[in-house]
Amino acid sequence: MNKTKLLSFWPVVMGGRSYATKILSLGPIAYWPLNDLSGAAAVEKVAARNGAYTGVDLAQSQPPFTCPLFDGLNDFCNIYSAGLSGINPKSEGSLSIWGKVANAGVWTDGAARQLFSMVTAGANERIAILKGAAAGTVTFTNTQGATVKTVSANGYSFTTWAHFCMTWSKTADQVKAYLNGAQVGATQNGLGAASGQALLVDQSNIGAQDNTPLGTVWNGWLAHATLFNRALTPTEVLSLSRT
Amino acid sequence: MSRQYYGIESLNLTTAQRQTRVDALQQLGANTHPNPSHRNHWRVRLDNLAVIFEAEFNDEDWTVNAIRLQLANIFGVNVSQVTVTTTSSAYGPLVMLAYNSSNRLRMTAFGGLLAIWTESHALALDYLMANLAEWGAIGA
Repeated sequence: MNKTKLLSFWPVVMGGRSYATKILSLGPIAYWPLNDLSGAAAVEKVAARNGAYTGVDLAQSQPPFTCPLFDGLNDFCNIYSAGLSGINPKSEGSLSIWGKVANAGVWTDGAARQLFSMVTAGANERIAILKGAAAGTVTFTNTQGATVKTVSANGYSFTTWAHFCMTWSKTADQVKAYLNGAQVGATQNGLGAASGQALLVDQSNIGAQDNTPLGTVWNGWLAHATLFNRALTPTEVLSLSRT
Repeated sequence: MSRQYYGIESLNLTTAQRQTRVDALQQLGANTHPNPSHRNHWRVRLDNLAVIFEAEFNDEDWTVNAIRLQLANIFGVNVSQVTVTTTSSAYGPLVMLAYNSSNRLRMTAFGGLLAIWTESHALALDYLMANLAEWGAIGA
């Protein structure tokens, strides 16, 4: 194998590492790969704002990712930190995460199940992507200054990995939702003005909305949760939806 | 050691008695295990009267006799004064513990004692799905 072929082979072999490189090249403000092999810390790659796992089964092989299984019952990853609260991208931002349900029945189980959620005091701001309680529904929620903007799409039953992304911009007055790199639902306008409220400790989670009391727990696998402080372009979102 | 789900419900305990029981149960399990799934973690029902625990537990942690003895200690009485009734349910054996003519605790081992995790998980999840409103799992 000559040097050129060897170099082209390398990213394929490394898989997750090349995807991490792609994410980091877009300048996230927080990135939890969720590929930790042991321990309670969900390592955050930008500024060591590590999350804390509770109950998840780490290091599950779910190609192309190594990731935790959330049991749908009592598992979550709390990502609150004062540092994260300080950089909470309220007015301009993007949230990117991969999710895979444990089985097709999750889509019709009647429970809401969060992939990612960050909520501020008084619910003035909320960034969330979830499987809704209604069958086959995915909901993207962006709340600014208590003005709620929601995109819901339904008819889903897939059991493969899917890439979920939401972008928002107060400047452009837009919230957009994407599934597997394609925009879903209508662009939302009329965003509110973000308040100065801090993140709630118990409502800043990957795999659950609230951990006290615990509810809306994800049932399946999650990988590569990433926050940006700008609205990604559709081309960037498409790129992130490709591993 | 076996990793599985257990449920416990307080029926006629004071807040302090209930907390004593929960505090003790939260200490059980392989809490230094490298995988968080094996450490003791729990879900509390919205009314705070029931908890589902999951961990890799010592097999003797959740025996009827162990729970019976702990309940007797809470009341400061001889273990013989705590009576036990076992019935079956769709989710596993249901154990009712009573003292002084009142039911005090209800306990279940999801999937049965020493069930494998996949069985215990499936039945605990079925139970939760059948009782979504009480456990706060519906949401948006």
